[in-house]
Amino acid sequence: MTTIPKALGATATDTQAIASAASTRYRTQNRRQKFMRNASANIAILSILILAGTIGATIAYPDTFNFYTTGNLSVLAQQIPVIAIMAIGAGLLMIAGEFDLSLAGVYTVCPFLGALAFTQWGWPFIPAIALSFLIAALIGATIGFVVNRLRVPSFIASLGMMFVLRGIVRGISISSSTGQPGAISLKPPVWFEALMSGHLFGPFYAQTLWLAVFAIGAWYLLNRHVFGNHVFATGGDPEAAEKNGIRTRHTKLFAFMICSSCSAFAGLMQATRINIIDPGQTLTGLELQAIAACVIGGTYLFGGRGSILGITLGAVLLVTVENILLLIRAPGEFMPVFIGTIIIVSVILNMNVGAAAGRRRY
Amino acid sequence: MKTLTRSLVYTVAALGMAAQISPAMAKLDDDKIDVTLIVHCCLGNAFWEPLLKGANEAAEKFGVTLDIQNAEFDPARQVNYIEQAIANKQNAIIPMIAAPEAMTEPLKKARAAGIHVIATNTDHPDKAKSGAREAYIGQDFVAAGELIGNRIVADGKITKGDKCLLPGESPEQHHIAARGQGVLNALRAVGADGEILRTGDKPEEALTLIAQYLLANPDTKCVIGLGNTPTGVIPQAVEEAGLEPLPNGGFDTSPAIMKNITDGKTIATVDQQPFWQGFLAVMMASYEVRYGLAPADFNSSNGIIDKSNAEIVAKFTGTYR
Repeated sequence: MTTIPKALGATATDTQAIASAASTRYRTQNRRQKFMRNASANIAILSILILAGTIGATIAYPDTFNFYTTGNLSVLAQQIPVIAIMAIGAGLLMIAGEFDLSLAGVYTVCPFLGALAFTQWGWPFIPAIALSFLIAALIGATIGFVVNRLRVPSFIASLGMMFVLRGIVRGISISSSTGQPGAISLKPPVWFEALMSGHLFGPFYAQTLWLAVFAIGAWYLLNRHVFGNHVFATGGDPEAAEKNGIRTRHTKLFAFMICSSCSAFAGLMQATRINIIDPGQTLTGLELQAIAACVIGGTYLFGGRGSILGITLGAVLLVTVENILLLIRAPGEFMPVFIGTIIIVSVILNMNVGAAAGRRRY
Repeated sequence: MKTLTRSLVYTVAALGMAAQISPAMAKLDDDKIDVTLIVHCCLGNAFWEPLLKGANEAAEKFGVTLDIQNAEFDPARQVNYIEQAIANKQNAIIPMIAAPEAMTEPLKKARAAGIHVIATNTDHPDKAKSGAREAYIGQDFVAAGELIGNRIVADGKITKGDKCLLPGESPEQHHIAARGQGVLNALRAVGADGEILRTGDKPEEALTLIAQYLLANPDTKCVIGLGNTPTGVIPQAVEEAGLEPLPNGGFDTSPAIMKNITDGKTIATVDQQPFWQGFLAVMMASYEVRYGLAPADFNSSNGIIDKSNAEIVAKFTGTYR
């Protein structure tokens, strides 16, 4: 909230006047203007446009545009949740004002360790999976410690952690038979495979249902739990948050741990689907895709603003656009160009639409 | 409202333009075959140029709409591209089976859906028995490793107790591991041994890593690259490490490798002729879809390239070689 510094002679009355004016301005806005103030407004509009476009293309080219076929929707139902769950964790952290660039490392290392424990160290399955999440929480806590206590910017701390995790996964992946780093197969029990990547409650893919669980849970945490208030306050104005009794360090620490745990879950879900965890997956750039999904979804890069709906829609948009480009056989070499363009256009929309509705700019 | 309208119009226009880029969407020729080629990694690497040239030439000659996708080492992405090709009802998929644990089931699903699968460049370890592919166009990696290993052992006079460096882009990938095994077979046959080093797919990274290894291990007797990226930088890395020129060789061709061979800095390389891998895979797919002609395995490796036959190869490196 904008306040006039006391150094300029401001009084409590002046600050109250500003707050009152802002409240009056909000109350006098119509429903459209109130909607446009929401962090996920622009992504919602863009999503509707894309949906309309796909429906139009299907009507115009029924034999060649296969977006609404069972096969393609199955592909989307399995692809979107991986990015979306990682983005939810990354977005929560971004709202708290921090970044984590080690997500692809966590996505790879944690399931890898779980698979090692189960297949080579003789651990029972559930403790092996619990190990994956324990390691994820530890990684998040380590980055949080480095950021909070050692005052290292999260961009740098998580970047360093990313390199550490890349080295770790190569080291632990060295095969005893070949002496070389290699992928590991995850052969979980049938019930776990069904739970993570099978069909549940009829035609629904488990991954989609897990996304719903994560999205609803994260929404509740951010919007109905006191922790959510702390996250917004910490990201919006850490100094003011501290003065109001919020322990911002604790908030950030938990946000880092939640972020890492989300990435570990996404990695485990993907590993169950494709039956392999490859050390090369640390190089996939998934962390940037997750952050891009957050930005597209209206999450403020500098903290304090964002919505779970926007983040989820951002991930849906990112994966759907790539899917559409593959369907229309866009040249594969230019795929990153198209994706980058969509990201920039989405952010510009967010900036212009938000400014038109009275929100502050980036 | 004006700003909102303008922004939305720009977005729709941009998406509309993107849709027009591929003529395949608006005007798909009923006579054309739709084929997806999935490159498993590093599409910008010089090695892929002949393969893509071959694939595009065959696509043009034989009426194929070729969709080339880059998986960037990610097995999940390879699986996604395969499943997308199934959803898009492609006539054939040309995969590089670098992650067989992940790709086998989706490829079998593709075949069950009536899509033809011809693997290129990297085969399934279980070959045709896997059921994942109908044919394979590419190199026999272990045999090729033994071929270059034996040549370097002979020319470099490698004997018992000698240690060699075997740098490879990504040792966890099946083709690098298999080549390494072939080279180690040749070295161990004379009582020598080798160490495999991961260099990544960028020449500057490979150069630094190889030079650093040689600085730490100056008693290394030979260097045999397991892929074109490290093979191309070996002589420079040896020089930067301050060592006398070492017997060296490796795999594939590139302008750097051919220059080293013609200058006498590299003994030999084994060429897997990626042009054939692209051309024949697309050609076979086209003929199978149209006329039911079954594809067949083809060993694209043609033996050693050294100073005696380097001239013609060097002339066409980056295009047909």
